[in-house]
Amino acid sequence: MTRSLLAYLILPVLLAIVPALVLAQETSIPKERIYQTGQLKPLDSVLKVKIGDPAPDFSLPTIDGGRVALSDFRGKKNVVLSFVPAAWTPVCSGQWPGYNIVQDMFEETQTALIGVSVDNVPTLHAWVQEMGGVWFPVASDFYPHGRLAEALGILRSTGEAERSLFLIDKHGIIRYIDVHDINSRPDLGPLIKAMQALK
Amino acid sequence: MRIRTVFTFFFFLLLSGSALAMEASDNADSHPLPVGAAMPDLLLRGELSPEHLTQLGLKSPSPRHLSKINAKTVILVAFSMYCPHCQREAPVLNELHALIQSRGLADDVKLIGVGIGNSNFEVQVFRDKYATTFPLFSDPDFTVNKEIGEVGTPFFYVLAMNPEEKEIRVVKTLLGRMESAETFLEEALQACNKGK
Repeated sequence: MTRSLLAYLILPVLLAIVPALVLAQETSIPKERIYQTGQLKPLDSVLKVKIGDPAPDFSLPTIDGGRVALSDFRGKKNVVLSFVPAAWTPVCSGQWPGYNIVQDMFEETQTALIGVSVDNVPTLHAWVQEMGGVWFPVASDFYPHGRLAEALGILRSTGEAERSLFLIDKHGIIRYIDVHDINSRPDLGPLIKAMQALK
Repeated sequence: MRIRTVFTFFFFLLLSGSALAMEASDNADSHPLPVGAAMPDLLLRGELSPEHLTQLGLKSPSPRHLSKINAKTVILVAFSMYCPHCQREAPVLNELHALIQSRGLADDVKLIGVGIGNSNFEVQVFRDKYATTFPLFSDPDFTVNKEIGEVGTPFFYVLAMNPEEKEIRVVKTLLGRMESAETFLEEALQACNKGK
């Protein structure tokens, strides 16, 4: 084999590897893809549930093409619902990637985690891929619009859900609620402690 | 042009594409302090182990001023447990800390982290997850974040401590993950010497 022929064969092999290396680069959502919402009214809804109430049942489509229902977990696992107001917005984009490193805390307390927003499935799918993926199901409360958010009393007048966390035990009872200032991210500490208190 | 040259050119062009992807969680409001600027005397919050307090020459209780850290150079990394790049950078930060120790620089060069928008609990999650060996402070209300220019994460400030002049000067900055601990430490030390 001539030297130049060998070079021509090596090159396509290298060209095949390089794109794979490029794609393997860690991606975080580039700032130009984040929509700057500015400061919003911290709270814009009236909560309809309280600790001790049964959580409303739901069945929502998820970004992997399936569905998730609260009844899936009855008798088996606690459930945390993490509502974020909107895909592609600042605080939201910096919240779920953090939950990626506490999966063990959820497993230790037999707690499932479900991310929810009122965005539609394709939007949520694109956004979650862009943030590098998450280990938990992400569900869309898009149609009927915000039905679950409305049932909980966390649907804002402009159509997004409040930034909120709900912990529901294995009997379907709400045990912890944090309807948070929409402009800031809730501290993980109180949620984890509430999950550990359920053991 | 010879065809081999053309192929080589395109190969290197593709390879350089990988260098363009920024490994940082940047934000639209960021305005880092430039090299040569004075760093405010940050008030650092958080719970440190007795070992780390001794390492930095600090006393209880929290909060403590940055100027109180006993060092010639402080390498400050702004991070967040929520930032995927910081999560991936964590082992390299431990490498950097180990490198400083192994080069016998531990008395003069001190590495600290500040968890931007992270509570003590959240900093502890990061510390436990990655067995972080160097001191980490928390910044739950983003106060330090504002003082250091609302930078993206991870962000590195190499600071020359100058207690006689009562100032802390920025000698090097880096947004995003470092190329390697060795390269970064070399560049940081060079930047410190240049400033002298």
